[in-house]
Amino acid sequence: MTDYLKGNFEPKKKVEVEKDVPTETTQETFERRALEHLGGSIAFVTLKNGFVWNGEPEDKGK
Amino acid sequence: MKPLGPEELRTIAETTFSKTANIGLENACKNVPYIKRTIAELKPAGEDFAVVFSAGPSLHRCNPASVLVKNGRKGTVIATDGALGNCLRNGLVPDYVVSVDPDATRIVRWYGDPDLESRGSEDDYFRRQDLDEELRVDELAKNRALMKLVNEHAPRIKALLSTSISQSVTRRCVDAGFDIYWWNPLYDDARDPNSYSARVRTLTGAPCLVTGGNTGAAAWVLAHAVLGFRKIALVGMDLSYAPGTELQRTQYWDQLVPLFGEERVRHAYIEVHNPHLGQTWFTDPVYYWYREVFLQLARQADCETVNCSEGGILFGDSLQFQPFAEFLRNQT
Repeated sequence: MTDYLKGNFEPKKKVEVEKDVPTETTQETFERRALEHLGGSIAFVTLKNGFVWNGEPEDKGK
Repeated sequence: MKPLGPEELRTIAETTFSKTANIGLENACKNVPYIKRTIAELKPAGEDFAVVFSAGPSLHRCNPASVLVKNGRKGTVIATDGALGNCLRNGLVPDYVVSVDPDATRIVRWYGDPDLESRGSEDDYFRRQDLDEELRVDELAKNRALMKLVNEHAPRIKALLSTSISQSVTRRCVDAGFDIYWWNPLYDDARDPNSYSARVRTLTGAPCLVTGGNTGAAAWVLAHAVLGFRKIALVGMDLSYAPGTELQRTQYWDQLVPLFGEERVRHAYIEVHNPHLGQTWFTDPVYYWYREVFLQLARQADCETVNCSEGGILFGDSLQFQPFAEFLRNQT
Protein backbone atom coordinates (compact mmCIF):
# COMPACT_ATOMS: atom_id res chain seq x y z
CA MET A 1 0.00 0.00 0.00
CA THR A 2 2.81 2.40 0.86
CA ASP A 3 4.07 1.98 -2.69
CA TYR A 4 0.92 3.65 -4.00
CA LEU A 5 -0.26 6.10 -1.33
CA LYS A 6 2.13 8.81 -0.22
CA GLY A 7 1.17 11.65 2.09
CA ASN A 8 2.02 15.27 1.37
CA PHE A 9 2.52 16.27 5.00
CA GLU A 10 4.42 15.09 8.08
CA PRO A 11 2.19 13.87 10.97
CA LYS A 12 2.82 15.40 14.39
CA LYS A 13 2.95 12.00 16.06
CA LYS A 14 5.18 9.28 14.76
CA VAL A 15 3.02 6.58 13.21
CA GLU A 16 4.09 3.02 14.00
CA VAL A 17 3.39 0.55 11.24
CA GLU A 18 1.68 -2.53 12.64
CA LYS A 19 3.78 -5.61 12.31
CA ASP A 20 2.22 -8.80 10.95
CA VAL A 21 0.60 -10.62 13.84
CA PRO A 22 -0.26 -14.24 13.18
CA THR A 23 -4.04 -14.49 13.24
CA GLU A 24 -6.25 -17.52 13.34
CA THR A 25 -7.56 -18.38 9.90
CA THR A 26 -11.24 -18.91 9.23
CA GLN A 27 -10.57 -22.63 8.87
CA GLU A 28 -8.76 -22.75 12.22
CA THR A 29 -11.56 -20.85 13.95
CA PHE A 30 -14.09 -23.21 12.43
CA GLU A 31 -12.14 -26.27 13.57
CA ARG A 32 -11.66 -24.90 17.08
CA ARG A 33 -15.39 -24.27 17.43
CA ALA A 34 -16.15 -27.75 16.12
CA LEU A 35 -13.90 -29.25 18.80
CA GLU A 36 -16.05 -27.58 21.45
CA HIS A 37 -18.84 -30.00 20.48
CA LEU A 38 -16.89 -33.25 20.45
CA GLY A 39 -16.50 -35.35 23.56
CA GLY A 40 -15.13 -38.77 24.49
CA SER A 41 -16.69 -41.66 26.38
CA ILE A 42 -15.93 -40.43 29.89
CA ALA A 43 -14.22 -37.57 31.68
CA PHE A 44 -10.49 -37.77 32.24
CA VAL A 45 -8.14 -36.13 34.72
CA THR A 46 -4.85 -37.33 36.14
CA LEU A 47 -3.78 -37.95 39.72
CA LYS A 48 -0.64 -36.57 41.26
CA ASN A 49 0.38 -40.11 42.19
CA GLY A 50 -0.92 -43.27 40.60
CA PHE A 51 -4.23 -44.12 39.00
CA VAL A 52 -6.59 -44.96 41.87
CA TRP A 53 -8.12 -42.57 44.40
CA ASN A 54 -9.55 -44.20 47.52
CA GLY A 55 -10.54 -41.03 49.28
CA GLU A 56 -7.27 -40.32 51.05
CA PRO A 57 -6.26 -36.65 51.03
CA GLU A 58 -2.74 -37.32 49.76
CA ASP A 59 -4.08 -39.17 46.70
CA LYS A 60 -6.45 -36.51 45.54
CA GLY A 61 -6.64 -35.56 41.91
CA LYS A 62 -5.01 -32.53 40.48
CA MET B 1 -7.03 -31.16 10.13
CA LYS B 2 -3.59 -30.77 11.64
CA PRO B 3 -2.57 -32.85 14.69
CA LEU B 4 -4.10 -31.23 17.76
CA GLY B 5 -2.08 -29.03 20.10
CA PRO B 6 -2.38 -28.76 23.90
CA GLU B 7 -5.14 -26.14 23.80
CA GLU B 8 -7.28 -28.16 21.39
CA LEU B 9 -6.75 -31.31 23.44
CA ARG B 10 -7.82 -29.39 26.54
CA THR B 11 -10.99 -28.28 24.73
CA ILE B 12 -11.94 -31.90 24.03
CA ALA B 13 -11.22 -32.84 27.65
CA GLU B 14 -13.48 -30.02 28.86
CA THR B 15 -16.25 -30.95 26.44
CA THR B 16 -16.02 -34.58 27.53
CA PHE B 17 -16.33 -33.52 31.16
CA SER B 18 -19.37 -31.36 30.44
CA LYS B 19 -21.03 -34.17 28.48
CA THR B 20 -20.37 -37.03 30.91
CA ALA B 21 -20.05 -35.77 34.50
CA ASN B 22 -23.71 -34.96 35.16
CA ILE B 23 -25.10 -38.04 33.49
CA GLY B 24 -22.38 -40.15 35.14
CA LEU B 25 -23.38 -38.91 38.59
CA GLU B 26 -27.09 -39.39 37.82
CA ASN B 27 -26.41 -42.93 36.67
CA ALA B 28 -24.31 -43.58 39.79
CA CYS B 29 -27.30 -42.59 41.97
CA LYS B 30 -29.48 -45.10 40.12
CA ASN B 31 -26.79 -47.79 40.31
CA VAL B 32 -26.32 -47.56 44.09
CA PRO B 33 -28.84 -50.36 44.87
CA TYR B 34 -26.83 -52.70 42.64
CA ILE B 35 -23.44 -51.99 44.22
CA LYS B 36 -22.64 -55.06 46.28
CA ARG B 37 -18.89 -55.22 45.64
CA THR B 38 -16.21 -52.86 44.38
CA ILE B 39 -12.90 -53.35 42.63
CA ALA B 40 -11.21 -52.88 46.02
CA GLU B 41 -12.24 -56.50 46.70
CA LEU B 42 -10.45 -57.87 43.64
CA LYS B 43 -7.26 -59.80 44.25
CA PRO B 44 -4.25 -59.57 41.94
CA ALA B 45 -4.70 -62.21 39.26
CA GLY B 46 -1.32 -63.84 39.80
CA GLU B 47 -0.59 -64.46 36.12
CA ASP B 48 2.36 -63.01 34.26
CA PHE B 49 0.56 -60.80 31.82
CA ALA B 50 -2.81 -59.52 30.70
CA VAL B 51 -4.21 -58.92 27.23
CA VAL B 52 -6.60 -56.01 26.86
CA PHE B 53 -9.03 -56.44 23.96
CA SER B 54 -10.37 -53.19 22.51
CA ALA B 55 -12.71 -52.99 19.55
CA GLY B 56 -10.71 -51.17 16.89
CA PRO B 57 -10.78 -52.40 13.29
CA SER B 58 -7.69 -54.58 13.82
CA LEU B 59 -9.82 -56.79 16.06
CA HIS B 60 -11.43 -58.05 12.85
CA ARG B 61 -8.51 -57.55 10.51
CA CYS B 62 -6.05 -59.57 12.66
CA ASN B 63 -8.43 -61.66 14.80
CA PRO B 64 -6.29 -61.70 17.97
CA ALA B 65 -8.95 -63.73 19.83
CA SER B 66 -8.39 -66.59 17.43
CA VAL B 67 -4.60 -66.13 17.67
CA LEU B 68 -4.77 -66.38 21.46
CA VAL B 69 -6.97 -69.48 21.40
CA LYS B 70 -4.62 -71.19 18.93
CA ASN B 71 -1.68 -70.38 21.19
CA GLY B 72 -3.24 -72.14 24.15
CA ARG B 73 -5.01 -69.25 25.84
CA LYS B 74 -2.15 -67.66 27.79
CA GLY B 75 -2.51 -64.76 30.21
CA THR B 76 -5.54 -62.99 31.65
CA VAL B 77 -8.02 -61.56 29.15
CA ILE B 78 -9.68 -58.22 29.82
CA ALA B 79 -12.23 -57.24 27.17
CA THR B 80 -13.83 -53.89 26.61
CA ASP B 81 -17.59 -54.17 26.17
CA GLY B 82 -17.21 -53.51 22.44
CA ALA B 83 -14.85 -56.47 22.07
CA LEU B 84 -16.87 -58.93 24.15
CA GLY B 85 -18.93 -60.32 21.26
CA ASN B 86 -15.87 -60.80 19.07
CA CYS B 87 -14.08 -62.70 21.85
CA LEU B 88 -17.03 -64.99 22.55
CA ARG B 89 -17.70 -65.70 18.88
CA ASN B 90 -14.07 -66.78 18.56
CA GLY B 91 -14.26 -69.16 21.49
CA LEU B 92 -12.44 -66.87 23.90
CA VAL B 93 -14.23 -66.27 27.21
CA PRO B 94 -12.64 -63.18 28.81
CA ASP B 95 -11.79 -63.16 32.50
CA TYR B 96 -13.06 -59.59 32.77
CA VAL B 97 -15.25 -57.21 30.77
CA VAL B 98 -15.22 -53.44 31.27
CA SER B 99 -17.89 -50.78 30.68
CA VAL B 100 -17.69 -47.05 31.39
CA ASP B 101 -19.58 -45.01 28.75
CA PRO B 102 -22.87 -43.56 30.15
CA ASP B 103 -24.78 -43.94 26.87
CA ALA B 104 -28.20 -45.54 27.45
CA THR B 105 -28.88 -47.33 24.16
CA ARG B 106 -25.60 -48.04 22.38
CA ILE B 107 -23.50 -49.67 25.12
CA VAL B 108 -26.12 -52.24 26.05
CA ARG B 109 -25.94 -53.51 22.47
CA TRP B 110 -22.47 -54.92 23.15
CA TYR B 111 -24.10 -57.31 25.64
CA GLY B 112 -27.16 -58.01 23.48
CA ASP B 113 -30.02 -55.60 24.06
CA PRO B 114 -33.18 -57.26 25.38
CA ASP B 115 -35.24 -54.17 24.48
CA LEU B 116 -33.98 -53.72 20.93
CA GLU B 117 -36.99 -55.25 19.22
CA SER B 118 -39.56 -53.31 21.25
CA ARG B 119 -37.62 -50.06 21.04
CA GLY B 120 -36.83 -50.29 17.35
CA SER B 121 -33.58 -49.07 15.95
CA GLU B 122 -33.77 -45.61 14.48
CA ASP B 123 -30.14 -45.14 15.51
CA ASP B 124 -28.04 -46.34 12.57
CA TYR B 125 -24.82 -46.47 14.64
CA PHE B 126 -24.55 -50.25 14.62
CA ARG B 127 -25.26 -50.45 10.90
CA ARG B 128 -22.42 -47.99 10.25
CA GLN B 129 -19.81 -48.70 12.92
CA ASP B 130 -16.52 -50.49 12.38
CA LEU B 131 -16.09 -51.86 15.91
CA ASP B 132 -18.02 -55.09 15.49
CA GLU B 133 -18.54 -56.02 11.84
CA GLU B 134 -20.82 -58.88 12.85
CA LEU B 135 -23.49 -56.52 14.15
CA ARG B 136 -23.74 -54.39 11.00
CA VAL B 137 -26.29 -56.53 9.16
CA ASP B 138 -29.38 -58.48 10.22
CA GLU B 139 -29.41 -56.54 13.48
CA LEU B 140 -32.24 -58.27 15.30
CA ALA B 141 -31.06 -61.82 14.65
CA LYS B 142 -27.47 -60.88 15.53
CA ASN B 143 -28.67 -59.20 18.70
CA ARG B 144 -30.57 -62.32 19.76
CA ALA B 145 -27.53 -64.50 19.04
CA LEU B 146 -25.29 -62.20 21.07
CA MET B 147 -27.72 -62.21 24.00
CA LYS B 148 -27.67 -66.00 24.01
CA LEU B 149 -23.88 -66.14 23.84
CA VAL B 150 -23.45 -63.58 26.62
CA ASN B 151 -26.05 -65.29 28.83
CA GLU B 152 -24.22 -68.59 28.40
CA HIS B 153 -20.82 -67.28 29.46
CA ALA B 154 -21.52 -64.31 31.76
CA PRO B 155 -21.41 -66.32 35.03
CA ARG B 156 -17.73 -67.09 34.29
CA ILE B 157 -16.83 -63.45 33.66
CA LYS B 158 -16.15 -60.64 36.12
CA ALA B 159 -17.73 -57.38 34.94
CA LEU B 160 -15.79 -54.30 36.06
CA LEU B 161 -18.50 -51.69 35.76
CA SER B 162 -18.16 -47.97 36.16
CA THR B 163 -20.93 -46.38 38.22
CA SER B 164 -21.41 -44.02 35.26
CA ILE B 165 -23.08 -46.68 33.09
CA SER B 166 -26.74 -46.53 32.22
CA GLN B 167 -29.35 -48.59 34.04
CA SER B 168 -29.95 -50.45 30.79
CA VAL B 169 -26.40 -51.84 30.94
CA THR B 170 -26.59 -52.52 34.67
CA ARG B 171 -29.82 -54.48 34.36
CA ARG B 172 -28.47 -56.43 31.40
CA CYS B 173 -25.29 -57.38 33.29
CA VAL B 174 -27.23 -58.36 36.42
CA ASP B 175 -29.75 -60.43 34.42
CA ALA B 176 -27.01 -62.15 32.42
CA GLY B 177 -25.33 -63.26 35.65
CA PHE B 178 -21.98 -61.46 35.49
CA ASP B 179 -19.92 -61.33 38.67
CA ILE B 180 -19.98 -57.52 39.10
CA TYR B 181 -17.38 -55.21 40.68
CA TRP B 182 -17.93 -51.44 40.64
CA TRP B 183 -15.64 -48.44 40.32
CA ASN B 184 -16.01 -44.71 39.75
CA PRO B 185 -14.42 -42.58 37.06
CA LEU B 186 -12.22 -39.80 38.42
CA TYR B 187 -14.15 -36.90 36.89
CA ASP B 188 -12.34 -33.86 38.22
CA ASP B 189 -10.25 -32.42 41.04
CA ALA B 190 -11.17 -34.50 44.08
CA ARG B 191 -9.60 -31.97 46.47
CA ASP B 192 -12.84 -30.04 46.16
CA PRO B 193 -15.41 -31.78 48.39
CA ASN B 194 -18.12 -30.64 45.98
CA SER B 195 -16.37 -32.16 42.98
CA TYR B 196 -18.07 -34.91 41.03
CA SER B 197 -15.22 -37.25 42.02
CA ALA B 198 -15.64 -36.62 45.75
CA ARG B 199 -19.43 -36.84 45.57
CA VAL B 200 -19.51 -40.07 43.61
CA ARG B 201 -16.88 -41.60 45.93
CA THR B 202 -19.00 -40.75 48.97
CA LEU B 203 -22.18 -41.93 47.26
CA THR B 204 -20.93 -45.34 46.14
CA GLY B 205 -17.97 -46.14 48.37
CA ALA B 206 -16.08 -47.39 45.31
CA PRO B 207 -12.56 -46.27 44.38
CA CYS B 208 -12.17 -43.61 41.67
CA LEU B 209 -9.98 -44.44 38.68
CA VAL B 210 -8.13 -42.38 36.12
CA THR B 211 -10.02 -43.39 32.95
CA GLY B 212 -7.97 -42.23 29.99
CA GLY B 213 -11.27 -41.04 28.49
CA ASN B 214 -12.38 -44.33 26.96
CA THR B 215 -13.10 -47.95 27.80
CA GLY B 216 -9.90 -49.40 26.34
CA ALA B 217 -7.71 -47.07 28.38
CA ALA B 218 -9.81 -47.72 31.49
CA ALA B 219 -9.38 -51.48 30.98
CA TRP B 220 -5.60 -50.96 30.78
CA VAL B 221 -5.67 -48.88 34.00
CA LEU B 222 -7.65 -51.64 35.74
CA ALA B 223 -5.12 -54.22 34.49
CA HIS B 224 -2.06 -52.61 36.06
CA ALA B 225 -3.37 -50.34 38.83
CA VAL B 226 -6.00 -52.70 40.26
CA LEU B 227 -5.16 -56.23 39.09
CA GLY B 228 -1.43 -55.64 39.43
CA PHE B 229 -0.18 -56.79 36.03
CA ARG B 230 3.31 -55.63 35.17
CA LYS B 231 3.09 -56.62 31.53
CA ILE B 232 0.08 -55.79 29.38
CA ALA B 233 -0.54 -56.46 25.70
CA LEU B 234 -3.07 -54.35 23.84
CA VAL B 235 -5.02 -55.68 20.88
CA GLY B 236 -7.66 -53.89 18.83
CA MET B 237 -6.39 -50.60 20.26
CA ASP B 238 -6.19 -48.66 17.00
CA LEU B 239 -7.77 -45.34 17.99
CA SER B 240 -8.09 -44.71 14.28
CA TYR B 241 -9.35 -46.05 10.98
CA ALA B 242 -7.55 -48.16 8.40
CA PRO B 243 -6.58 -46.53 5.13
CA GLY B 244 -9.55 -46.54 2.76
CA THR B 245 -12.25 -46.76 5.45
CA GLU B 246 -15.41 -44.95 4.36
CA LEU B 247 -15.91 -41.84 6.48
CA GLN B 248 -19.53 -42.83 7.13
CA ARG B 249 -18.25 -45.80 9.13
CA THR B 250 -16.16 -43.74 11.53
CA GLN B 251 -17.23 -43.25 15.13
CA TYR B 252 -17.97 -39.53 15.10
CA TRP B 253 -19.43 -39.24 11.60
CA ASP B 254 -22.92 -38.42 12.84
CA GLN B 255 -21.52 -35.65 15.04
CA LEU B 256 -19.00 -34.31 12.54
CA VAL B 257 -21.38 -33.89 9.59
CA PRO B 258 -23.63 -31.32 11.33
CA LEU B 259 -20.52 -29.39 12.38
CA PHE B 260 -18.58 -29.49 9.12
CA GLY B 261 -21.20 -30.33 6.48
CA GLU B 262 -20.86 -33.36 4.20
CA GLU B 263 -18.70 -31.53 1.68
CA ARG B 264 -16.13 -30.43 4.25
CA VAL B 265 -16.29 -33.26 6.73
CA ARG B 266 -13.13 -34.88 5.38
CA HIS B 267 -11.25 -31.88 6.81
CA ALA B 268 -12.23 -33.01 10.31
CA TYR B 269 -9.93 -36.03 10.17
CA ILE B 270 -6.25 -36.24 11.05
CA GLU B 271 -3.77 -38.46 9.23
CA VAL B 272 -1.02 -40.18 11.25
CA HIS B 273 1.78 -42.20 9.70
CA ASN B 274 2.69 -45.28 11.72
CA PRO B 275 6.36 -46.11 11.07
CA HIS B 276 5.96 -49.60 12.57
CA LEU B 277 3.38 -50.46 9.94
CA GLY B 278 4.61 -48.23 7.14
CA GLN B 279 1.00 -47.10 6.79
CA THR B 280 -0.93 -43.89 7.25
CA TRP B 281 -4.14 -44.35 9.24
CA PHE B 282 -6.61 -41.56 9.88
CA THR B 283 -8.43 -40.56 13.00
CA ASP B 284 -10.94 -38.08 14.32
CA PRO B 285 -10.21 -35.41 16.94
CA VAL B 286 -11.58 -37.37 19.91
CA TYR B 287 -9.63 -40.50 19.05
CA TYR B 288 -6.52 -38.34 18.65
CA TRP B 289 -7.16 -37.02 22.17
CA TYR B 290 -7.41 -40.63 23.41
CA ARG B 291 -4.07 -41.36 21.80
CA GLU B 292 -2.28 -38.43 23.39
CA VAL B 293 -3.80 -39.21 26.80
CA PHE B 294 -2.79 -42.87 26.60
CA LEU B 295 0.80 -42.08 25.67
CA GLN B 296 0.94 -39.68 28.63
CA LEU B 297 -0.48 -42.29 31.03
CA ALA B 298 1.79 -45.04 29.73
CA ARG B 299 4.80 -42.92 30.70
CA GLN B 300 3.49 -42.73 34.29
CA ALA B 301 2.47 -46.38 34.64
CA ASP B 302 4.47 -48.93 36.55
CA CYS B 303 4.08 -51.59 33.88
CA GLU B 304 5.36 -52.64 30.49
CA THR B 305 2.82 -52.00 27.76
CA VAL B 306 3.10 -53.70 24.38
CA ASN B 307 0.75 -52.63 21.62
CA CYS B 308 0.03 -55.81 19.67
CA SER B 309 -2.84 -54.34 17.66
CA GLU B 310 -0.92 -54.50 14.38
CA GLY B 311 -2.84 -51.45 13.28
CA GLY B 312 -3.62 -47.90 14.25
CA ILE B 313 -1.80 -44.88 15.60
CA LEU B 314 -0.94 -45.79 19.20
CA PHE B 315 2.83 -45.79 19.18
CA GLY B 316 5.49 -43.80 21.01
CA ASP B 317 8.35 -43.95 23.48
CA SER B 318 6.16 -45.12 26.34
CA LEU B 319 5.11 -48.41 24.77
CA GLN B 320 6.38 -51.14 22.47
CA PHE B 321 4.81 -52.14 19.18
CA GLN B 322 4.92 -55.85 18.34
CA PRO B 323 2.85 -58.46 16.45
CA PHE B 324 0.60 -60.37 18.84
CA ALA B 325 1.84 -63.85 17.86
CA GLU B 326 5.43 -62.72 18.49
CA PHE B 327 4.45 -61.32 21.89
CA LEU B 328 2.82 -64.63 22.83
CA ARG B 329 5.85 -66.62 21.69
CA ASN B 330 8.01 -64.58 24.05
CA GLN B 331 5.85 -65.38 27.10
CA THR B 332 6.72 -68.41 29.18
